[in-house]
Amino acid sequence: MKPQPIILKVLNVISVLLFLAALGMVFLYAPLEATMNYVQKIFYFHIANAWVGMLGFIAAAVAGVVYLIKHDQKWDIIELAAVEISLVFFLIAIAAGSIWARPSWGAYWTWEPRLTTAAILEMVYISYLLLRQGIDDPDRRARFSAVYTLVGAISIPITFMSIRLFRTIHPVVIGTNSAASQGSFDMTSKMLATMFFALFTFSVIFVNLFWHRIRLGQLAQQVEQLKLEELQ
Amino acid sequence: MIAVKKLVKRFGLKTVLRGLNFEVPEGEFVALLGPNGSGKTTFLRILASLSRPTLGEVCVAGYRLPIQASAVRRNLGVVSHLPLLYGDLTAEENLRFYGRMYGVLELSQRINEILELVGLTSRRRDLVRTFSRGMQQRLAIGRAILHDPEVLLFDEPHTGLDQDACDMLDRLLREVAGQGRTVVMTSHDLARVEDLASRFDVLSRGVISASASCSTFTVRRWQADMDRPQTTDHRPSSIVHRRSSGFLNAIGAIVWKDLAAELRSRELLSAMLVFALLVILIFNFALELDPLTRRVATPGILWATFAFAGTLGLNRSMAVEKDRGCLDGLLLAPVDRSAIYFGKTLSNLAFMLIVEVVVLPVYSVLYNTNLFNPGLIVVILLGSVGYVAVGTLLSSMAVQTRTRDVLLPILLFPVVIPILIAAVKASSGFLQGLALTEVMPYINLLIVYDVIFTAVAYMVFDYVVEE
Repeated sequence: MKPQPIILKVLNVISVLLFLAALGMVFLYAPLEATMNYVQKIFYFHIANAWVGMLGFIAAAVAGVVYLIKHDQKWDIIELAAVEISLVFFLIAIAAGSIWARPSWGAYWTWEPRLTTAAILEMVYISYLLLRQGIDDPDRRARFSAVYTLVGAISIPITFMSIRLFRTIHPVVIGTNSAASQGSFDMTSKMLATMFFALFTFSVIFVNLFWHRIRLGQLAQQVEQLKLEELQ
Repeated sequence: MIAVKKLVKRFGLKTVLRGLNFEVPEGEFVALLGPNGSGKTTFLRILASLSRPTLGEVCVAGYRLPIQASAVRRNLGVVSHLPLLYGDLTAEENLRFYGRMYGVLELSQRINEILELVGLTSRRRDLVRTFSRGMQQRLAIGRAILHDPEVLLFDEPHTGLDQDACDMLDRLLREVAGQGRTVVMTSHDLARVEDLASRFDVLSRGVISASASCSTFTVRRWQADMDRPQTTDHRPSSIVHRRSSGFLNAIGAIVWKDLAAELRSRELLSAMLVFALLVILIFNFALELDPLTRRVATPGILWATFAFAGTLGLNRSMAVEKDRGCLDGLLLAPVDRSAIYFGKTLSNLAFMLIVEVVVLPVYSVLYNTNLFNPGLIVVILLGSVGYVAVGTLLSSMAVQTRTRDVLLPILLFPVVIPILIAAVKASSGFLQGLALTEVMPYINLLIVYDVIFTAVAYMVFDYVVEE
């Protein structure tokens, strides 16, 4: 088994340091929001998780398309890694959003269109994992997964668009706010800086985890190869 | 006639064929022997254009695979251990369907000749599912030679037949092979094929490990030829005229086949209708529908009903294709894959619309609600198109998985929910008498979804059915 590359080891350390720095900025640097107080702090994690969640789903769709063109198993490994990691990040984003929603909207969950489409997006990729489980042939599994990722990716822009397509109470923190939205707030420059730092930090953490998961996939493939050689 | 060089086929990490070389001159009958799992079926599926080679060159009937797959399919007949026939169609209807898929002209005359050849003229109007296994295999041979192919591939055609049926099949195989066709037949039983083949190749560990000619074959075949009346044409049947089966013609054939089979068995429509009515009844108990709730809940109940019943229909519609290997039969036809997708989509849409046509008046009567609103009809049509467009694609995938019984709704519902939301909103708008301008955004949304899902499904369907 190959040891971790040096760059990956460095990235591990950078990820931890950046995460600690982001925590520091959220709790020590960014000012306390007037009406929501400490609850607003979760916004930085909510938006950062949602961002990398989306990033992963888009990466998975791109990997799916490349697989269909090249028929190379490595793209299937990349696609699966992206979906698995994004699924977790997006779930954290939804949970963080619910914690934020309780004081803002008076409920952990509302059937507001963007929340609903976010839940649908999670369901698409849970279904993706169930699809993979049901297929033994690796080629067919990779093909069907790639096709389903592509079809599922249509849901991603819908999640973003839904805030414009339907009337909503979900705050539009970046861009024009709708008249009906609740829980929005004016960002100070320190808040904005903290948010962008959190986005950067979680992007680095995403790359780090993504790399580890791809590596794990490659190692699992090697184990399969060794098993087959043993049998033959 | 068949030339294979350095063929490699991998399934993931597993290599099944390892640089296989194979050649068959025109008119020769080659038996491909080997134990179970040696790669015989994989090899034959590659020759049949059902599976793509990983590496190597494959040439069949003068055309290269996979680039000229359509031309290969036009000149190829395949008989496997599955008959590739529809159980709910008669023998004649099966041949008519495949004849249309291959663009056979003067089809009625050709069907008569084939039925005569395989000894099933008296059973031409009987459903294939009432046939014995031997009769199904004879009809499968008829199906394979219907378009007068130059090359025939037989994949263990004797599987599951008793001795008499095997003997009868052998006589038929000898007859169709003796008409100058090139034949490759796989078997794991030498005794079974020694009277048929002129050459025996042994496939072992992914390569041809041994090859031998049968000395007695030439004498026997010569004797058989001497006993047969001499004709100038090397194929005694009439010359089969073919045109390339057009895109629309293939779609029409698939829709005709699905509707004919369903109108006879009524399995799919009955299940969908009964299930739809049950859903409506359950909602009645669940929501205790007073007039106000009814007005608000009707669009949701209707679309939940259509979605659930639609899933049953889609599942069954594709399961029929997997039954008796019919999906391979469709894929072997020299038509564009998208014609198969659109044919199945149109059939599924027809089934869904039939159910909706029945459900709407029943719902109107049971809940005293007038649903005969032109706007609502348009919404139902648009919603159904989007639903079956993506549903047909996903059911083609689901049916090829181990968890096919449960997977379709799990795959389908998260993806079609956007369509269902738009359809419910638009239906609600029309039923509540809102102005058209308020409903139009949802109608537009439905149209956009329909176009996107149809386009994506059209683009990726190839990847779902190829190997």
